Amino acid sequence: MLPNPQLKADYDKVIWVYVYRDFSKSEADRAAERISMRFGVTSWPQLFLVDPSTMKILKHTGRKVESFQSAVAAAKVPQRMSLKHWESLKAAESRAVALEKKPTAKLATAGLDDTDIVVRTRSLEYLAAKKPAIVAKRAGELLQVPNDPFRYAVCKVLQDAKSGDARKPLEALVSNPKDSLNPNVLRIRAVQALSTCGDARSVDVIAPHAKSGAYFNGLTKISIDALAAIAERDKKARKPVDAVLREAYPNPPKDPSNERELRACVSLAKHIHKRRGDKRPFPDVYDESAVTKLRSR
Amino acid sequence: MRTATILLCFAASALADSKTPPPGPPWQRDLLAAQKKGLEEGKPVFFYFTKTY
Repeated sequence: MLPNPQLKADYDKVIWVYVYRDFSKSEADRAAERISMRFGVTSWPQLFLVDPSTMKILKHTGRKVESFQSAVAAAKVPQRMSLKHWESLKAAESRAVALEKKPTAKLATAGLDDTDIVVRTRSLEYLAAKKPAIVAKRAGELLQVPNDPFRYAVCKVLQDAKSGDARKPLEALVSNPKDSLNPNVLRIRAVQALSTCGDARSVDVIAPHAKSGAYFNGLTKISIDALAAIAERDKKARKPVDAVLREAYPNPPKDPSNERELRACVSLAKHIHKRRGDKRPFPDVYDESAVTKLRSR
Repeated sequence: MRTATILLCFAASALADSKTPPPGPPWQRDLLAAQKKGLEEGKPVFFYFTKTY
């Protein structure tokens, strides 16, 4: 989309902000990280328009001149806006920076309930490292916060805490990753947490992702691993998990001459074979007949 | 030597590509300054998020 002379007419219609992350944790990178957190950005590139009074996303512009211009034309904001919104954001930014520079348990515990998502996320980062029990105890409520980086961090705490109390809200997140800009990654994080927090009751929720046959999607293998981990922990899960894993052998690619597809497909099938502990040798040729045999007991 | 120079130029341009905003629009990087300007001028704020590749 950029640079493009066709966009000259739009230079004055919006305020242009460039947010670049190099993950160096430098001052500039942390400022860019705070902007990314604010809007839940965890995949790149992202292009969207925001109402400066609410700091809510109005429209995703797409990456074409036409889609950008139509988004700009449709994005309406009030002509007269109070600077109190700016004062409030300025104060929130100060609280977030204070947590970056000199975090304390007191500041972070209070900050977890802040009105500002960046302050909440910085508080969560501190508590995840120093007081994870505080986070685990509030899993249900925290997993509903409509912000991806925040929920990723909560999932990681729960995965490490192996908290059975978090099973239900995690299952709800896998079933419906509501308000997510990146639902596949949010599901991945929730399934990883269920690998330590879930039990036999989680099998039906994870199963569709384990047997999707999507060998290029990381969620498939992570779901298979989570089910295998649950089966190792919970006797009641063993039979249903094996039934799901048998169905999870992916169908061979329609075009077997496509080496990239075949390699990914066979790699996933071998992984399932291993996780099932199937003693039969893995077939030399992975075709429909091989899949039928592998899926049988 | 020539290959190294070409590789270096390529690496430098790739780095510049993401670190530096695309030429043209009046970009800024400061969130608070952008929000204030948007409020004062009654305009939406356009965010372009990118990262090092």
